[in-house]
Amino acid sequence: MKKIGIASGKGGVGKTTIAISLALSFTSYGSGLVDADITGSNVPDVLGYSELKVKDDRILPAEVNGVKYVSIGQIASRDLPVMWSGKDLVAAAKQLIEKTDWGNVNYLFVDLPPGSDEINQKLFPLLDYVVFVKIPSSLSESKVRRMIEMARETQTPILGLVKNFTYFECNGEKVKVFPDDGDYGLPVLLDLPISPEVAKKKIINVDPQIFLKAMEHPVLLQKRDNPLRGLAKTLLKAMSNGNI
Amino acid sequence: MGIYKNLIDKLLKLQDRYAADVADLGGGERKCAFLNIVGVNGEQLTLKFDGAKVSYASPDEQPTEIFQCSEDTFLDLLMNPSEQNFIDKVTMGYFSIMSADTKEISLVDIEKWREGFARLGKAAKMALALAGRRTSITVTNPQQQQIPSKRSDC
Repeated sequence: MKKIGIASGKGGVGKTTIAISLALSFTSYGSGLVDADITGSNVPDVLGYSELKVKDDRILPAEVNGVKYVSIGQIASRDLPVMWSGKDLVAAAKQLIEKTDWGNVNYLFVDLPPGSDEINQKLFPLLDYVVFVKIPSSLSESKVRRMIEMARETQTPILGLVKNFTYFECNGEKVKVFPDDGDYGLPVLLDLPISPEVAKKKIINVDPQIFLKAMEHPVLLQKRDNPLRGLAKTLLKAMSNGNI
Repeated sequence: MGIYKNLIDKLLKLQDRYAADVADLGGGERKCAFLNIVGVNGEQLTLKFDGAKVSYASPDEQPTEIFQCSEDTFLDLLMNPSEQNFIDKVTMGYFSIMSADTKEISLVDIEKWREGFARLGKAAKMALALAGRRTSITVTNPQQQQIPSKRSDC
């Protein structure tokens, strides 16, 4: 099972919409969705608040339109804040991924929380890939950059970038409202408009082939060069050659 | 803690009389959970839930889950028993459920025990109501203040 995180440093950029859309577009391949945003979960607002069940110490996910999903929103009280310690938030997010009986799911999309806090630090190493979502806003840009650094630091392969709210269509013309300061050298997987239709449906038509192709050729952003890492490599090589 | 200890003592005594209503708390046959009730000054009282009975825990026993809450939260759960009240307390961090092995929150056990705690509270409330008809239950706080229970005419 491939685990693909949907990340952004900032809230409100469309992570959940993208994550749900991806999960729905991958149903023929076997798809699942984890709402790892423990304190701000809203996947059930779109997919429904079906109660989770447990069996033999495993969580049984809810299923809608072929997508299996779990969210803390299906366990915690809907109108109350989740006021758990950082350690418990991390544990809960990890359990939603690891203690759920995913069955035939081959592609598990993980809707990550905003920010570069402990949850993301602990979840990134569990992921096979990460997709970044950004909007053309200077406040979003700097935060996405930090998250890309986190992916580098944790050696999580980055599939690419989804650019949201980049333009709107007017009389068949694409009008850019905000300046866009770049793609950080990442492949752009989707370039999405501001769309009242999306706001209504909360779902975007995604071509899974774009993502599957990216998975075949992921842009693996390596950790920054570190002299100690180089030294360790040299020592390991020397040891394997019997030179030490 | 005195007033709560007194109340818990009464409930545990009543439990034997109304055991059928408290049976199967939801923890499963092999499970044993400890509930640490923490007083305002940090003093603790530990109860054991073994799937069919509540009792005081002895130090040599090993639980599979550890619950923790304040004495006020415990009383609130007993007086307002429902799955929703239990989940509200868990969500707000007033009642924690963690695995004894990992010492981390356990989502699986939250789901397993939510129904059990609602039943426990209902049984405790019913036991108190039934007992109140036959005997006068007084709960004494540390200042020896008497809080009389409601007494029916029968």
